[in-house]
Amino acid sequence: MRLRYEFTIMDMGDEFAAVPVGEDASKFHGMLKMNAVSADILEQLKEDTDPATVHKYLKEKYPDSTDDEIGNALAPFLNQLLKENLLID
Amino acid sequence: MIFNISVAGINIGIESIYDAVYEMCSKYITDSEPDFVVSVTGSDIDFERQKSISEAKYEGRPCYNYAPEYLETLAVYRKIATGLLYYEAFLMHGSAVALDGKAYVFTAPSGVGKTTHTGFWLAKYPDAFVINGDKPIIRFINDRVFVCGTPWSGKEQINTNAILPLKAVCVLFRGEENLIEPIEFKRIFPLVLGQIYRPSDRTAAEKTLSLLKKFGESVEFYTMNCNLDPDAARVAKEGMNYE
Repeated sequence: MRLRYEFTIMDMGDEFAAVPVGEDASKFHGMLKMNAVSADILEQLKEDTDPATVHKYLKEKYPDSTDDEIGNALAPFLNQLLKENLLID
Repeated sequence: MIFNISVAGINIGIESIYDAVYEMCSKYITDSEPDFVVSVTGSDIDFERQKSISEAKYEGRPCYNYAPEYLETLAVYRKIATGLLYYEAFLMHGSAVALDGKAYVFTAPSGVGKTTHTGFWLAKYPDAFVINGDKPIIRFINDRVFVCGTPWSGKEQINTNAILPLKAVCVLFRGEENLIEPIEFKRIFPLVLGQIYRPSDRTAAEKTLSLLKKFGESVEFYTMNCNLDPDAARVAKEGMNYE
């Protein structure tokens, strides 16, 4: 799975914004606002990957977090991206 | 035609097919050597025609059959706006008014009343003038933010060849009462993003977003609910100059 569109992720201080760029800006009229963990997830989804690989990446980046905590951050965000039709297999 | 203009302190060479661009740029003509050159081809005009059709469809409004002379002016400005990114400048959709040596940019989706509000400023403050009524250029010069007049200024074609420091950006909404308040950039970011020209080229788009972030860190932002009472100008000015 990977993102359907190209995004640039902007650090806005205590939150992040993902803005479509290039030709995709005309296909997706909007932007995404998210926290730092979701921004990390989105960054991973720029390349083809799978949930287990992203989970492993987050586990390495946030070693103090439990598997449940990472799962609770990852699953809803992936579901939201699927719901918004922003992921492709 | 081949001629040079000075916009935002940058000299730009223009190679156009029709004379309309030259006539529109008459206040900005310069003899100075260009910092960069833009050329328009028939395919650029076709691109503008297709873009105007697809935008009209997306916005649910009628498609107009624009003359190629007009479409060329759009093509030229698109290329200029992209070129200016590399001089720390970007195009913002909004109405820029100047008073007492400071510039204020009012932005809002089309139809909210930017032009009407700007008109209230001109009526209330005799020394006020419009830098650009629709598409000013914002430029960083020595890390200060300036608003720059350009010939491309919407259907009213109101613009002044001037460069003034930006005091504040105000996002307008229609409201029952005139009420202005400061707002954090991150809260108003999606609306401001929608008013910035973002080229389709990925590198240029990322440059735009980088400038926009810097813009957000450098400028005061306000939101204003405004009605059609001319007193809206006083409320806006006092709100953005509250010490």
